[in-house]
Amino acid sequence: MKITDDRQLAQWVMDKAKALGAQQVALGLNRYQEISLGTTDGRLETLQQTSQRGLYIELYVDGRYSGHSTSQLQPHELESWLAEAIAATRLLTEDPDRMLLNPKHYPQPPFDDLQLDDPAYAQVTVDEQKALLTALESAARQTTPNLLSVSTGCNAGAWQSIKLHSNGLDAATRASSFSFSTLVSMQDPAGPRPEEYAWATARFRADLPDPAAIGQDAARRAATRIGAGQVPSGDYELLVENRTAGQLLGYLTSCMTGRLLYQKKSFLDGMLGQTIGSPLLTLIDDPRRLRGLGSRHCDGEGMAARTRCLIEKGVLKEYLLDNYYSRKLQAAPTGGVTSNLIIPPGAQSPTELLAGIKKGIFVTRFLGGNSDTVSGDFSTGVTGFLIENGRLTRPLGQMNLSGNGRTFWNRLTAVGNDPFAYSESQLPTLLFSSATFSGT
Amino acid sequence: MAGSMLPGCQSPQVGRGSAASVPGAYQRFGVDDDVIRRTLSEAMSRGGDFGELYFQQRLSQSLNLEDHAVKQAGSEGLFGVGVRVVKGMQSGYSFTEEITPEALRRAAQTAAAIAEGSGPVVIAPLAARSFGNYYPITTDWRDVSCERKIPWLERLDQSIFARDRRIIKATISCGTATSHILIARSDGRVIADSQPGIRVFVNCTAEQDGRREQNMAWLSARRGPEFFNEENFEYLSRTAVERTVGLFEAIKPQAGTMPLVLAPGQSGILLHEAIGHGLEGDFNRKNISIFSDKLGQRIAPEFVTIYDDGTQPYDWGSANVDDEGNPTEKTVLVENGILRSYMHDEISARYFKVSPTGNGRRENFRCLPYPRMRSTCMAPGTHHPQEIIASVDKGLYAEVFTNGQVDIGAGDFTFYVKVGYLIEGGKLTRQVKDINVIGSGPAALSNITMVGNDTAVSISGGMCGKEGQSIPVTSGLPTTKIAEITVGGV
Repeated sequence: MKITDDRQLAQWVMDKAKALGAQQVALGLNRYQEISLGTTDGRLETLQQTSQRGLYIELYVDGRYSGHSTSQLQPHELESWLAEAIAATRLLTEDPDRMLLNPKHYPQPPFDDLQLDDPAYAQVTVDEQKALLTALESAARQTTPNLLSVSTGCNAGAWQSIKLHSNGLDAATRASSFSFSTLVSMQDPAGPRPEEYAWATARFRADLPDPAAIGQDAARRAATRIGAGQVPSGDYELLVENRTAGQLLGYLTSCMTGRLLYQKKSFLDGMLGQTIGSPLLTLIDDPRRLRGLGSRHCDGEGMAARTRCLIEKGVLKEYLLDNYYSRKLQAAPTGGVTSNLIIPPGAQSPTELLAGIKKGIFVTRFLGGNSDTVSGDFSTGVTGFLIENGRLTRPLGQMNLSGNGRTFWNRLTAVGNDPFAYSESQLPTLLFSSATFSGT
Repeated sequence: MAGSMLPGCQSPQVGRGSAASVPGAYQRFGVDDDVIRRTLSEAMSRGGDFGELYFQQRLSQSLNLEDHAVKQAGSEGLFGVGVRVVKGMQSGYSFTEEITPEALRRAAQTAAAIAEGSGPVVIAPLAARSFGNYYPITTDWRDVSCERKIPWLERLDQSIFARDRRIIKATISCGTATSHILIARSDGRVIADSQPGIRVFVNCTAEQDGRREQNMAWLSARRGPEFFNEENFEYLSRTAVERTVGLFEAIKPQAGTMPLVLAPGQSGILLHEAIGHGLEGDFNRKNISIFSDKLGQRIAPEFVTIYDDGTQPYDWGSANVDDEGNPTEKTVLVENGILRSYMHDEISARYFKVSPTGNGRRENFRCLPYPRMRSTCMAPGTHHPQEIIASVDKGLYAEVFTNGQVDIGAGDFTFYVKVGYLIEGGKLTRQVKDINVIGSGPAALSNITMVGNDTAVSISGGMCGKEGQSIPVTSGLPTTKIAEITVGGV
């Protein structure tokens, strides 16, 4: 049989895997194309145009489970690859909790258009991308003429995927993404060469901002870093910039997963229905947002996308339970992976929030850092500014923020009106009444 | 903790000749001199300073143990070729997963677009080369059945629970891979390498009087199945349990700036973050690193010598040849406190008019290479480790690390201490955990005041991220004192 398209190939692999002994099969066949360019100081540094294909498969064989991926898709290669994979699966211990998701959770057609795929991808040209990067750089140079160096980058990508589960899921998706960014370095007379960056990402090319705005933003940010230093250790009010808040939120949401709960490594164990933050903490997961960077009809396991409230006015409402760990926890699956995370915006702008802060730190970036999911402790480097009497007075670096997830979110006292548009998470600027910083 | 001690970090070259043969690689990828020459010619048809083809086949295997049994396995297969054309500091790139003359030609034409025009470059006659043999392959991981691995992992799990009744959960993951590469360059050099790798992670949760703690131990090496020996078994079992139950005694230190003593071995992450990335050749040819314009200058005390080494036998960060076909080496970066060299890829070596240093690395054939680290180490000093700890009245001793990051321009670097101790009155007292340390690279180097005579290279290994690409690295350090650095705390 000659295989003429991806759907045929996917079905062929499914049939073959079952014929070789798999009782249940989940598979995905994916294609991805990309054009990306990078410049440094007006000179094109990199030009890449690529296209790739891949297949992943999950096999449920005699109560045993394994997952495999390959990029060698010739049928004779796939046949031996499948046979090896199935034989290897038989060497594992049975796991009665491993099975495909109950099909009642799968999305049902018709699938509404989430507007994930921009046909404009086909019209992207290298010359246009070059012009884009030129615009980014000249805006940066006009904003901060004494900058040391400017690098820019842009990327356009397109995906096509087919997902088949042997118990009835059939989902095909097409998606696109466009982004550009710029990094600006400055020479601080004291020696350092601080750098700052700005970027924009969107599913549709037409939704990207004017590159000049991004170039200006990066250059303006970089110029503010001259003279960065430390202030004394202590407790300060904490204002976290919208595009940076995701890392802090991640220390919390990572502890909501079924795996950590089952492995008794989550400080949120037993906290369902309990207060874990101030009444201002509401967190919504919305996979159905039109053109959302995290939007989808179903997650990797086939769980139909639904908008859900994870935290409501400080109360933990849902865990992130994938199929496998939900079974081990003897709970219903809720969907193990988040999509577009939203903290509903408040009424005040970041400038208004700033004006009310007597002694605080405005964090614009985190550096490194990590957390202990069992205790809730986290500790991370920060870059930002000192706030004194409602104003940013000096740039700060080499400072560290430490906290504990059990108490940290109780001190969330204000949410800005400025959700950051260019990421999966749409988080506004956040104000905390107190946080512990290390400095001098 | 037990670690592999390499006296003076001098390692003999393990074997002569290449671990992988070019003819074997030709057969693996279904190519010959003719196809390679034609593809390189196509790539260089519009000009360029050099070009290369990077063929790769990498098969990876994973096993996960949870609830006392291996119930999950996985594999990943990568197969393809990347085509690069370089003109000056510019790179054109494409790749294909089909190794056919037609697909190769298309990829070559795409990569050629960067050059735009000085006319075709003649490809030099192809000649096979070989460099080094730092990890001779006993058995390709592809040929090792999980039946060989599963009993060892299950036994390890049992020994963990047997060590301490407070352990309530343990997970073990074992990842193995053998990567076969073939590089063909427009200067005629053709070289092959086969790179084994194994990583085993053990993660434990313990409970005592209603309080829970978790910690981990891990090992990474360029080894085959001889890795499954009693020494590694004992290390993982003992270390994972000791680190986990030890946390019941741990407290948070006070926040602030204080002296820091780094334990030997994995603390080399200090070098990786404080100076390593800042010495990568691309940042320096762009003049944006805090260490740009500092070649030949004193950047550390005269008892500090730092190098980046790809020649340590079986080390996770070693490579016989880098991913541009240049031989690996031990590159001295800082010699007696003077900055001597950056770490180069082809492009930065040409820019600075120096020999390549074998630091051009990439995650896989789909990626461009960049200057990257291997095993970044400091040479031993003269102090006894106990003397170093005794010299600190109030400070921190840091032993186990999870991750770090650096702003190479500002010079701010950070690493996260998972396990450490307070130093009080010259002695290790209370255990501390989960603290981030932050400093400035040049300041930290200048503030190194004592270096121990006990250097070790980390056997844990890590993954380094840059430009969206993750590659294996290690680091090493003697017991080292930094006079002051900022520590996160309460």
